[in-house]
Amino acid sequence: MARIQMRDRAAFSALYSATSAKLFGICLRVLKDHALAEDVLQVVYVKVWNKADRYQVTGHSPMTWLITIARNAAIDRLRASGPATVDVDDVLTLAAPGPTPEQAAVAAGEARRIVDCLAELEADRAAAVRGVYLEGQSYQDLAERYSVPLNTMKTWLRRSLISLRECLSS
Amino acid sequence: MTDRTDISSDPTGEAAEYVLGLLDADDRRAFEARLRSEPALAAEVRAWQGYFATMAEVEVDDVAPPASVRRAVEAALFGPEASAGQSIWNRVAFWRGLSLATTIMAAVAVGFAIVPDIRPPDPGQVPEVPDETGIPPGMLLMTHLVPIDGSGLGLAVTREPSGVLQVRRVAGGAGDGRARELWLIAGERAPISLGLLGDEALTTLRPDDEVAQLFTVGASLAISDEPPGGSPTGAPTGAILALGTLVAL
Repeated sequence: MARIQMRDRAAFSALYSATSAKLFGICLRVLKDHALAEDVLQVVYVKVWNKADRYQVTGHSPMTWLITIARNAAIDRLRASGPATVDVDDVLTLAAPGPTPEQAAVAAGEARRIVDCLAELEADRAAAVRGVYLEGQSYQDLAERYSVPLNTMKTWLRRSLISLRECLSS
Repeated sequence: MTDRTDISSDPTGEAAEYVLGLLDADDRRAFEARLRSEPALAAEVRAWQGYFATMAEVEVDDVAPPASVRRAVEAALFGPEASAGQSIWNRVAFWRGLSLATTIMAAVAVGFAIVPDIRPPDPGQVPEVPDETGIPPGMLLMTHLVPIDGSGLGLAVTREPSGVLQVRRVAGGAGDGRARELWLIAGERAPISLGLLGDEALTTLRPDDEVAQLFTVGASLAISDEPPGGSPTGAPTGAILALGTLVAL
């Protein structure tokens, strides 16, 4: 019995060792509080392990899947108002079949273009995109931060996102 | 550039807002309803999730969490109540978890091969990443079997397009009078024996056609410790010495 558990732990241990520092870094960046980030990280790994059989249906690379789960869990905790984000596999399972693992691997390489494309945006617009993804800022937060009306902020960020997508698919 | 004024209904922009969590509750529900019936929109969501997650992967520094988190998760996952009397070989959750862990290792390796900033490609060793989306049938598959529980046994397995398996021992010795048996774990099937490893560093195995068809990306290979001559039951009987999941080259 103990041996069985040892081996289950070996697989978990490999996964945790390879990924926990990145996911903890992301939880900390969102929550800016060690105790909260530790708490969320724990929830994330229990969720990941229990859902490991579903990650392939999302068509994502494993790191994208893990980071998306961690980021969404951290944002939900930050907003502390019930789950606002939907689990990545819950949505994508319902849609068309995802790319094959090979396609996902190629896509993961292409995804790295986002760093270059963000650099092509004006600095405050790139900062706004990062602020939303990594710090959970809302349109209202951004409008206050940049001292512009809410609707102006919405238009401004949407245009930035569309420019970003054009750069990414060019 | 077009000077389209109605950018609020742009599917790309809305998918990005959805992924970022910027839509209010009503808009989000409406968007999710559309996702179920619009594959193109789902693809857009998937693309944005990939882009933003990659941004975080590249830009956010690693921070090692305290050891207490690992202990807490292990207690939650493998606590006393988890000790059902099943053999590890029958535990689907284990194989799925393993597959995820080894796929991550493979993805990390592919990431290194793609991103020259991190490590310049070494043309002698780094496999070419296929730039076509279609992978031909009979592709080259490989895995590194990682040692389990300090067995020290490391193996590199290559499945050639012809179906021939080349199993190369890269760490750990042969011998001690026990046999090492190679198994294929595909989907929900019971492990299928592929043969015994020889004492030489390189073992060549030729699975029959029916078994060869089960070699797909994501299938796992494992080595078990067996009595001389191999498992007497047709199923693995001894400890798992090394494990890996197939990836395409």
